[in-house]
Amino acid sequence: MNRAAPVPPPAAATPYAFVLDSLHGRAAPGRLVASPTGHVLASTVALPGVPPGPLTRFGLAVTDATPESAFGEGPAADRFAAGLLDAHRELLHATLGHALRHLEGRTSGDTTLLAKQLVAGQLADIALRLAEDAAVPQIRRHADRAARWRCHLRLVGIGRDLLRLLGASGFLADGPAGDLHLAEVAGNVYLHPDTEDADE
Amino acid sequence: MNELREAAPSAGADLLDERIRELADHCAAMAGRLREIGRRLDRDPDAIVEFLDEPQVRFPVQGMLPPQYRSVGEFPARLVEASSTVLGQVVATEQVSYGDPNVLLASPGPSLSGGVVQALADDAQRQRYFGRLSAAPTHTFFALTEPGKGSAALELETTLTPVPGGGWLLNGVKCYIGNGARAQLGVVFCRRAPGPWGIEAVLLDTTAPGFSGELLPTVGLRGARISRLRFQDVFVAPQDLLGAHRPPSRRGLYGATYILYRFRPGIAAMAIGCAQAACDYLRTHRRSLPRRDGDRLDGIEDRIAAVRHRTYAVAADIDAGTVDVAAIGAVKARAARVAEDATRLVAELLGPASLLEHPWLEKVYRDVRAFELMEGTTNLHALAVFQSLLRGTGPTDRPLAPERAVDGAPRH
Repeated sequence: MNRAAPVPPPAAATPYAFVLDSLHGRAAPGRLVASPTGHVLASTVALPGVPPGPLTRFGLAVTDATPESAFGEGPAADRFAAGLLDAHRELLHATLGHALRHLEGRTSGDTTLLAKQLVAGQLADIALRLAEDAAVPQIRRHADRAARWRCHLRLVGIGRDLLRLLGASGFLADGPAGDLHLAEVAGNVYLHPDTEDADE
Repeated sequence: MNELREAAPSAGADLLDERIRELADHCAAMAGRLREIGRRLDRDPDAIVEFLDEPQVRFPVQGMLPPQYRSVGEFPARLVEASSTVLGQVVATEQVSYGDPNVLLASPGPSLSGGVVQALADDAQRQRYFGRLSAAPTHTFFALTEPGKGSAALELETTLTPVPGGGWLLNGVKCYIGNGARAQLGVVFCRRAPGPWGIEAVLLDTTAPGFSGELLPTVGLRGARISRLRFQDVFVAPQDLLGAHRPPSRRGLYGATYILYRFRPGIAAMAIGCAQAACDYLRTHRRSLPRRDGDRLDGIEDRIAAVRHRTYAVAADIDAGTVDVAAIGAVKARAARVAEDATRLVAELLGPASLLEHPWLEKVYRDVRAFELMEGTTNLHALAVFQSLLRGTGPTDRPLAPERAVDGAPRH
């Protein structure tokens, strides 16, 4: 059953799985939105009883769509897809802030890593790419699934570059890396354009 | 597992000698079983204890042991010997990682610390360390990285302070240490005095009072059991100081750099193995790709072939006595990047929800990100490459001689 169980309201540093729940609630109140492939991703709180899988430890449950899911093309799916991209972007902004704080606290020699020209330049580039992505006109960003996928790929690239700057802490599941992994998976499931011609 | 074997890459290497090629084939044949075990380890990293008797788990660590501590008669001696060189270790690691890198990292054995012991220890210390490893499955760790300083050996803050009557007390924190929290034995780098020659390496039994370790939750490569270690007034006896018989300039820091340079190509090999495995997985599951997608995949495989070629070359150089720090770091950094790019491309080309419908892909997609962080990030190695450019010895100035060329083309 793909009715949404009650979940906590989103807060500032909300784990991504709960952000996903909130997106479901906004896109299709009382229901969960299914991907075009017939999958539903939500928090383990929203989908209790789903058998554990590799993403369970990240707080994410994966199940199949049911007749009660908001399924296929339509306004709910569009709202959900747009929300996914917005959530990914917000997560990246939060991670950028985290990176600034983290790198300020790391030192090399007599200076912080934040003061290193190489690092400063990379952070600035990330900020510029985020700003550039935000400036893509809505009509282009949401023109079709391919447009959304392009946006998703841009955001994934920005996220990977950010995580590299975090060093080993950028590989911890309980930090930005865990949430960004879920954002990548969610995009892969909900935003990937169909590639029906792939085997032609 | 036929599908996996059909897709396994050739170790390839036109100019690898026959023994190394045989080693590669030997390891390639293990890939199927290693992938099964790796899948289990992703769910439960401590499940490695269920597989300790399997040859696929036991073989890869044999070459890291001194000859007198290796298993006798269990594996072809010539292959074990071949795997004890840096090039042999790289070729074997690539093939093993094509199956799954978690198994190698989760396995008991010498790890980096064994290399330090081989490089620095006196006879009694070697016997203590390797004798214990050969007597029973023993996890070990190599503790260099610290929370605020990363792996900058010169800046480490863990201290070794003398105590009346002899010996020292060890205090500090180490972070992102593979197998740290489940190890029985390890090597800790610490500062006894200011300056580069004040750094020491000590052998530590994890039952020592004051030692504690906690696991850190990682996105992937869970078999490595990345940990945080704390040392609170841990007593270090004089016989635990590695290389005490050597001058300060030939122990401590020397031991760290000696072993890191020799093992770093192995991280590149893990990344290359995973990247090739991802590409082969795609070719297995999508027999036909549109031309544009096929071109993108070919582009990734060009990069894999190139970084494999360079990795074999720097490994052979190390065996020949030439340690090119920038080149070693460069292959690690480039291999890590191509592994990320390969898994991202494969996830894209396998279509919508590929990360759900192909659990192995989702796993390797997470795993490969560790290689960027292991043994120094790309930024660190990029600076070394830049310094080599200033010296006029940059990577573009050093093409491989034809007689050392390596053909790592995959077997399809």
